[in-house]
Amino acid sequence: MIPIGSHPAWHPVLETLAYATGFAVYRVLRARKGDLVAEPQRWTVLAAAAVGALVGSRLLGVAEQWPTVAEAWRSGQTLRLLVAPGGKTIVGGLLGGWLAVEIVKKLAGIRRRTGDLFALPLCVGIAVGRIGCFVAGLADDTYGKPTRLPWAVNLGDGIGRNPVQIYEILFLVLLGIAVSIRRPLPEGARFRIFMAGYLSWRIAIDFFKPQPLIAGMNLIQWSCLVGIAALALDWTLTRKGLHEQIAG
Amino acid sequence: MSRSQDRRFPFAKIVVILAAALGIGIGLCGLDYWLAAKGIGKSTEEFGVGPLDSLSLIVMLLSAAGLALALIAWAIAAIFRSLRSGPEGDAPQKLFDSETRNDDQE
Repeated sequence: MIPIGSHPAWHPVLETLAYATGFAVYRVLRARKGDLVAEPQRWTVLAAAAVGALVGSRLLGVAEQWPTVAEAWRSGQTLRLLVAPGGKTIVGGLLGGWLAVEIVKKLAGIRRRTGDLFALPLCVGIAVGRIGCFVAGLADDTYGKPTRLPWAVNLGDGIGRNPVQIYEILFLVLLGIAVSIRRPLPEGARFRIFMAGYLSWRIAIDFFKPQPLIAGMNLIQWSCLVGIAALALDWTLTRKGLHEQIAG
Repeated sequence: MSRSQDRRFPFAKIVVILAAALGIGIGLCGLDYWLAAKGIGKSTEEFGVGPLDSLSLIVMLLSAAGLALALIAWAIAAIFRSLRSGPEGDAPQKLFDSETRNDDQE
């Protein structure tokens, strides 16, 4: 068992670093590869993504701990729970950000696919943020279930646990390579590969986390399933257009 | 504010910065646990009061209020801009700048 302990003070530091790193990678990519939309439109998309991600992350993050929400509701402390620090989730951020961007693009009349530039920065940002989740240990709700594997980690309670955050970082390295492939891909494909890959991964890895379940899966897994269904619907609706781009 | 001025006003950048600040404010609970472990303030049990709760609450409230104001101001500016430009034939009115680059510019 590898001793790690719980160091929650690092979580906000690495979370801030994750935002900064993701943004820096985005800037480098945009400078090197150019952009499909002009600067003001890109900032509009970024603003929509940031607000949508914030709202989605918080809502799903709070809802994920639904027994606590139910208890707060019964004791009349729902508002206090909502303004309490902590309680965000990456999946909620991704889905909320994606939804907000699609709505704002519709309002702004932006028809180009704008997500490709975000695929690699998201991989990098989430990986950096996951280091924070890992070192935060038991204070963060992302630790793994007990295991007897030789690489089990002790987060301070003497129990060997699956280092699920490290698994996720390794997966994100692979996903980052996949979305950075040099082969020309249809517009928007890199972002959709990222979303499909990450959401599928979360459905699988969350079985190794001790979270409250609803019909066999936790709320994040159900949300991932909804996200994958939306991606499949989007792919079906635009398949003809994408095939024309590939052929072109 | 003139049309050119509100076009230049960086609503989107302000919104991104405030959203990031709010996100970080919500995440400050990690430092809370750490301070509580050092004996500074009470331990954060469920949604109890931790040593940094007041600081993170201030950051959250200020950034949330700023974010709400910026979004409202942005929406109002966009509506005014849309009304000033008026409908162009049967084309749909656009609330935000929407010039996309042409394919030959990529």
